[in-house]
Amino acid sequence: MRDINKNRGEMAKIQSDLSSGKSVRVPSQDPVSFQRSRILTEDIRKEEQFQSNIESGLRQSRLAQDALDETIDRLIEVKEKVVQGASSSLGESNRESMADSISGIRDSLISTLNLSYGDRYLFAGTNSGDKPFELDGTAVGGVSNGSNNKSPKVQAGDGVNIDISVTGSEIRNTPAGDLFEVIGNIEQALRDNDVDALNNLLPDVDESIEHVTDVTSRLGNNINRMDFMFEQYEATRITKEADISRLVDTDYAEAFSDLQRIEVAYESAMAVHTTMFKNTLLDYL
Amino acid sequence: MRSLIEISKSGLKSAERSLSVTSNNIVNADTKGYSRQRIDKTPNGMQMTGYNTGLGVNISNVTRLRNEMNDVMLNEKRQNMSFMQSKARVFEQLEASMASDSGSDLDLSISNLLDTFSELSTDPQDISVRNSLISDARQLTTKFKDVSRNIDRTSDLILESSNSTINAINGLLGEIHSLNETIAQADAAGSPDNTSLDLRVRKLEELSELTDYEISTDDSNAVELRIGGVKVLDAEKADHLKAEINDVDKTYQIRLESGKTVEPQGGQLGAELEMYETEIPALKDRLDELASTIVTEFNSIHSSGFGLNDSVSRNFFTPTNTTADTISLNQVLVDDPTNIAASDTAGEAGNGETALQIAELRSQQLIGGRKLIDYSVDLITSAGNNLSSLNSQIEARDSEIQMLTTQQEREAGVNIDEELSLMIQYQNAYQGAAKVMSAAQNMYDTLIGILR
Repeated sequence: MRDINKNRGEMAKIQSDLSSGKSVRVPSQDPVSFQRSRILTEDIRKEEQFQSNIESGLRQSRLAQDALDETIDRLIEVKEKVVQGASSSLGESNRESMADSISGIRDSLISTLNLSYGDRYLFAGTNSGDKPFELDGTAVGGVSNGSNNKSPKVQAGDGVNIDISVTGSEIRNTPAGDLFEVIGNIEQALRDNDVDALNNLLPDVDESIEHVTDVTSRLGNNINRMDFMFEQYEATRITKEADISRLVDTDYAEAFSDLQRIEVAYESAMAVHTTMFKNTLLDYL
Repeated sequence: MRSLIEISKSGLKSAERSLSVTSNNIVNADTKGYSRQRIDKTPNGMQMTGYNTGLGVNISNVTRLRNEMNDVMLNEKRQNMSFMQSKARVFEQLEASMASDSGSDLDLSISNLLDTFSELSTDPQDISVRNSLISDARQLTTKFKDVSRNIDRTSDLILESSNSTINAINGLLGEIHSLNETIAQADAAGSPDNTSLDLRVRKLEELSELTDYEISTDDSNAVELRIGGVKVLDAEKADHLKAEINDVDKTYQIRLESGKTVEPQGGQLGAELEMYETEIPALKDRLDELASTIVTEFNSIHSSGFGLNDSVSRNFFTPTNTTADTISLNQVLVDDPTNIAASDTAGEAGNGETALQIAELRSQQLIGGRKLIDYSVDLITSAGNNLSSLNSQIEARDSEIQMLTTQQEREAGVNIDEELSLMIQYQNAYQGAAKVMSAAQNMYDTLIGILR
């Protein structure tokens, strides 16, 4: 009788394993597997959060990268104007109108670099609640600096934090001096009709372009790094999920063969039980 | 000639007694604690001049077949079995209140909160992240409270159940005491009271499931019981157990009327005591330690940072509430989530340094050399861990008990087939004796006919 009950209990367990697809559902069924699976699950969850951070970081840094590419294009335009303005064939009025267009380029640079993602100004460093660039006659280069020098970053791994943008201060700080000051000097030189000054400013423009390109490629590196980490998490997650499955999921082949074995044992126990009780002396009296 | 009548009479009597003993065996075949009985017969005879003649059969005794040693061993195992089963039952409840198969347990709540801090460090200006941070933190505090309440509830249930256990023990002690008296009286009268003996076996068996005890039998065949070395029952009187409980300190004492304290180590009562006094408070301590570590660590980082609006440093959790029962969020943050400190420099909206530091608590070994999540996984598994090792012990103990029971069955159990065959024998014996009687009567008739 005890064996029959035991068999029935085992059958019930296998049935629940099969129908739920899990062989370890509560700790007591297998404490070690349960604990390991939970810790692996936590690992996966942590990495999924890192992935989500990276995704958000990638969105922001790609936006920032676009803005920087745009900035480079604008600076190249500035360079073209400088080269054009430095040629002696132009008249004063031409230079005046070129000065106006330089001023226009500066304004559009400001609006490009005041790019925001949600509430966050991407080039303001961590001071991202405020606009990083604003026209201000009293500031250096005629543009005030609202950025600090701490770049925003995302947590991409344990102790791994990746910058998702560059700060406005860093963009401005070219080897040739403040970016907007360089542009301002060009504008001034055009207005002054000063060809020599324009010629002297040419290397400054080149240096500025190079500086912004450097900054952009550094950001590009970070983007690649984030992409790489994202893929890596994706790959390790598959292994970890497989591990968890091995720990707590039902092995269907095994469960079915166990079920058959126990069914046989159960039926024979019942058969023995009934035949044993059928034969009593009572029947012959 | 007269002896013929005597012989057949004794034969009839013995066959009838035997038959009644056998039928009693048969009808009690499935009575708990019943021991099969046998008739002991001795031949009766007398010495005549020159020869010896039989004078029929005497019933010397009705013996009860039972191995008392086996009973003692069996009761010890039963006591231990019931101890483990009761513990397993409680651990089962605790397991259910701490770990679910949906996975939404304490570890998940902590993990979610840390996740959201990580999210906040990425986007400190996003109000929706701040709102979900508050809701995650709330879920964590609710989870702590739930688990803590469930553990308390289990503890209360144990108290209730232990009261009825003690009542049951007292009842059994009383019954065994009165059985002791009947058995001693019957013994003194020279014929053992088998029914009472069987009843006492059954009561002792029931008692062994409730508590551990040592048993000894005195000269008058009365049993003497001691629990943890303290006498609770002898031929004179049965003691009364009384519980003295201090629910604040979680102490549980059992006192006799004489003032002595009794410390049961086994059976259901022993299990209930151990769970109530040791296991559950230990579990609760670990839960509280987790809560208090979280409160302290989160606060120490959070209070060094700043919210979006001002440069006031604030705690994340209410710093005075450091138990799982009381853990609560700082109301100022709930009222205005922009007060959550994500930045380590006042006035920098995009600074997520403080949130990042909190998120990084996840990989720090903060509590007993373990990470928060590892510790909480360990905590929610602990009851299941105990349960699983108990279950395998129970299985082993179960087969031991099964073995001893089979042995006792062989000794004291009733085999219906055997009894039936005996019944046929006794019927035949009765018929035989009756035939002798009628033969004797015929002889008398013949004799009397001659005289007529």
